[in-house]
Amino acid sequence: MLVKAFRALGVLSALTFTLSVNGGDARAAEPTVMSVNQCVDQMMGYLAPENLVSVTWLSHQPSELEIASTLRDIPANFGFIEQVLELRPDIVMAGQYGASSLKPLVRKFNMRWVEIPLPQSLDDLASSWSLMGEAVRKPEQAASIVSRLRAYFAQVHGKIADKQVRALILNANGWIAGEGNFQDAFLDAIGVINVASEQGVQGWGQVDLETLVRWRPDLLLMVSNSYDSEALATNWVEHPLLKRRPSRFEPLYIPADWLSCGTLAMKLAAQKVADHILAHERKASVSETADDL
Amino acid sequence: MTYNRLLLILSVSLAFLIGLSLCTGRVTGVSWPGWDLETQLILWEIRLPRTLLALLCGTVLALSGAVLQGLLRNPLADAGVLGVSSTAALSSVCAIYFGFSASGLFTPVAGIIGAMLGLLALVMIVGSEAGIVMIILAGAAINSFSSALTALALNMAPNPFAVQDILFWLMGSFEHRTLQHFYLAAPPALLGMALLFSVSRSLDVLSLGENTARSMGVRLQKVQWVAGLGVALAVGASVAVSGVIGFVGLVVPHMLRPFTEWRPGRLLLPSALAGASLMLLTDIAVRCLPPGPELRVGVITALLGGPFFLWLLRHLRKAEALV
Repeated sequence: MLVKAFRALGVLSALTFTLSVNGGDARAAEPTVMSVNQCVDQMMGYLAPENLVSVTWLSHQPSELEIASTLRDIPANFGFIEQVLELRPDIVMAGQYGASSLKPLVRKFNMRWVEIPLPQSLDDLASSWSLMGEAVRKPEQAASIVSRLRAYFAQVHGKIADKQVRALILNANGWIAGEGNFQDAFLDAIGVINVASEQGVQGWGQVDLETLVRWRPDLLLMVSNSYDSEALATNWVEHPLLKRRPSRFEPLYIPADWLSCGTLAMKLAAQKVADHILAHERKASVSETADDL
Repeated sequence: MTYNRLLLILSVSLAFLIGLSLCTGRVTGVSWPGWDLETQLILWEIRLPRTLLALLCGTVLALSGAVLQGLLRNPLADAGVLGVSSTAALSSVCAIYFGFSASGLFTPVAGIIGAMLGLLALVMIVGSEAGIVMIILAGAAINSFSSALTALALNMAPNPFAVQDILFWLMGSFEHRTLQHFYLAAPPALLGMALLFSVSRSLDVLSLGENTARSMGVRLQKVQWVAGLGVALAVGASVAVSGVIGFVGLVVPHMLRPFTEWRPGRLLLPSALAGASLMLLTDIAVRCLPPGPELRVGVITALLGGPFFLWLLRHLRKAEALV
């Protein structure tokens, strides 16, 4: 009887050990991540949302991303060390800028800090995804996201590059993306000429309304936000002049989330730009034919 | 210089500055506008709204400063110094950023309510017999408290970009304003200006002292209410579309007082004209600065008005010491 009891105990402890080892393996394979950067939230939301134990409070704001509800279900943080210590994630993941005061504190507590650099080109973006993929042990999935993006951009490029469209992406407060900026790389990849780069803007630049009108872009891509309330910074893209100025295409609104972080949502932005250009061209050719008749 | 000559000079200067403002571009500097579609759009959609708003706000601020100084018989009175502009800004911020003004129509109303509350708070704090220092201290307290609340409201606004608007609300600007902003602010501001002009004769009589004014048939309480309502309507509506622009109402009436025989009532029209000119001039100046983020108009008026305010304080102290 006693022997049976010991055997049963042995089996139980072996089972518990196996389970704990497997649990440990699973934990080793799936490191928990606390994100302190909105772009990291979004990239992780596409790559490995199950690994996220916390996202920034910004990801709980209204958003047009398909992963928005997933991110909203994950607890939010404000990038405080107290929150990091409470959650004890395997990795604290940050962007290149911001959270600079948090970095030394996280390291002081011997926790892992991974910093995803701000991409300036598609190659940079691939490196960022690769770094993130390595960190969460999902390099293949990360590489697949990059190749899907590249393939889609090439497809759009094939459709609209010959139209020679000169466009300008207009962000909140009149910020525009010039050469060496990721939004510039995006336009280049889909076959659209960036007016800001054409005008010699390097990195981020700010444009006033008069200059913008004089640059005569064919197409204005207005970066829109889905926040519940107004702000002057985001409202000025509604200036009546931007709609009344003569241009080849009507202005096009693109949700900020689609363009900001180099996620799969960029496919939606590329598709929207292509659809807008092609629809307009079709309309123009139909009206030309009607005129000829 | 005669009063009529003063008005003529101020009117001609104002007309010149209106023309100059329409010819001044952010990057192009001063140039005669061409007839091409782009330039015409820039003229009508960017420069005209700016010019009209600068005209309106400058007039309103200088006029209300002149009336407040006459009414309170206090040379330091001004909507900005007394905190009325700040409470108007706070109220507008709450309306715009927390969704109470979706159509935009409520924004000037919010500014007017804020300005009224600011005036009421000042009256309640200082009472009717307060001296110069007491009024200025109470104004400074209302000013800092409402500016802090404005910053807090912008920090807590649902739109994270609202924080970037703090400078606009505390230092004022006409950048990116449209004709719609002018149409929203103009009716209440014009009504307020009409009320302010209507008390000009009473202000003249009031300069002889309250008892004399009463004996001459001035209904003091009515004048105070009309002037208060006029300031609230005019300042509230203009702050709601341009933010807080300080010191215009303080500097302009002082510069002109010697040319108006020191009569508060005669000071109103020249102050209105000169206030509009000063505002246009500062707005033209910010457009002539090198490209980049535009300097706020209120920064320039504060750079002019701050030292002037200190000089005035010192001058008053010396005058008090002589008495």
